[in-house]
Amino acid sequence: MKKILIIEDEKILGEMYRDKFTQAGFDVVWVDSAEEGIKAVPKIKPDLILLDILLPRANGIGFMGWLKKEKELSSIPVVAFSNYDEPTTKKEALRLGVKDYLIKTNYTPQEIVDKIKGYLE
Amino acid sequence: MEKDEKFQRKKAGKPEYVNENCWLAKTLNYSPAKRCQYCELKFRKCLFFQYLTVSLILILFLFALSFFIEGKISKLVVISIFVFVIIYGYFFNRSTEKIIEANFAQRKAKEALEELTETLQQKVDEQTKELRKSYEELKVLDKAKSEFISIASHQLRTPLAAVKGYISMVLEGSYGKLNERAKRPMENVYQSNERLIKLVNDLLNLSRLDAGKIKFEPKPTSLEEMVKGIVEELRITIENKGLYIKMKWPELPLPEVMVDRDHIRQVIINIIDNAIRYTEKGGVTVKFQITNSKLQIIIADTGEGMTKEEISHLFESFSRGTAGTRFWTEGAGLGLYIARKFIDMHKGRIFAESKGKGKGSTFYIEIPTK
Repeated sequence: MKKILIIEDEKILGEMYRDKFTQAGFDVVWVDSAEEGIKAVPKIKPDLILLDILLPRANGIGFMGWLKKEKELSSIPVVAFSNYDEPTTKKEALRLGVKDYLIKTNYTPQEIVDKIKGYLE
Repeated sequence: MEKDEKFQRKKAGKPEYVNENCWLAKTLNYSPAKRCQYCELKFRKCLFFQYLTVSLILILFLFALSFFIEGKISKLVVISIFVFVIIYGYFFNRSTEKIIEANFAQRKAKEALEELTETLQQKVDEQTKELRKSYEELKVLDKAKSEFISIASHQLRTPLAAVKGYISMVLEGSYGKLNERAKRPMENVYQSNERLIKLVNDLLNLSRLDAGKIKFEPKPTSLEEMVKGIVEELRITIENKGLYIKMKWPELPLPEVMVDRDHIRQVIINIIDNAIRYTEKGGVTVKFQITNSKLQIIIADTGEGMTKEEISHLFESFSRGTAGTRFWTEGAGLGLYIARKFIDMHKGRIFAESKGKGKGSTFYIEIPTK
């Protein structure tokens, strides 16, 4: 069973994606801030991280900056998913190594699951 | 050289009478040249000065001579010369008066012109300063507007993503089998939400287009593959509406073209999406054509069609002052305007044809192949 870490601060969306990925057969851990994510990653060592960008305090870009410096963890694939569609932020996230930058409203949870499966193959 | 000097004097706005009376002009500081153009000599050697000296000597000489000369004819000659010199002096004096008058008027005009130039320069400086200030303020406002729109779009999208996600999961049966009677209303909610999402995306694109902040990143792309993918994505929506979608391929393989994939994808989706929305019977046909180094994607539907008047306004933004008067653009006003802007970036063309109401529409997306 693939382990996936979802970092999403919106409770409604976090629950929704957790439900969907659980139904799709993933082992899901959901945290609601970048700081919680930084604590969780070394413990659970997920197969993939689904990262929101606009988070309270340290945001998704800050999280990526941290992850890139962690030698043992930097190889974990990260997919950014956000409704913040700002070209500079998107560029920065891609520069820091996210596999993709998905706009949440453009995809149903099922479509996001399909994309993530594609990245894990 | 002489011509050059004359030209320079004219250019400098110096008066022409410098040529008439170099001595006076010099006295009035009106001769820029050290040499008088009329006599081509330096001031001290100029004709007027010589005339003055010679005239005075001559008058004195004639005056003295008249005391010593005897005989009527001789006295008459001397007096005639004396009168001639005086008359000549009179006309010389007239010319001098003219110069003084002209000089006075010229000086007044010059002063007025200088004053006007100074006032105008001051006004221009003030306005330039104001414009610069306004420009700086606008730059700050523009940045704030872009940030506001990005944040506002984010805030709007968050609940829209939740509605989209949950409804799609309900429709998929993630929360148990859906009651058949509830399926249609749920689909309607989903479609309405999709329209809201599209509107937010369009508004975001529009604000970026207006601010010139949309990036254009062309890459070699197979439009054939792109269209195939889009058609597959939309197939379920099309078939759920009871419509068909057909693709017709050209006999020869299509070349790759340099396009910004995100933009072109958005344009094609927009056109096909509109075709589906405005078609109740029949379906949509997508085909390709190569003409004069241009690749055309032709999207034809059997929908409600358009009048010529409607077509002429089709690619305008409804924010351009016709909102509320053009009912036919409902839901399409922003999308097609943005589509045209994206195609313009590719130096391509987008246009539509229709044989009239009820006779379907055909949209052409034309991209240069070179």
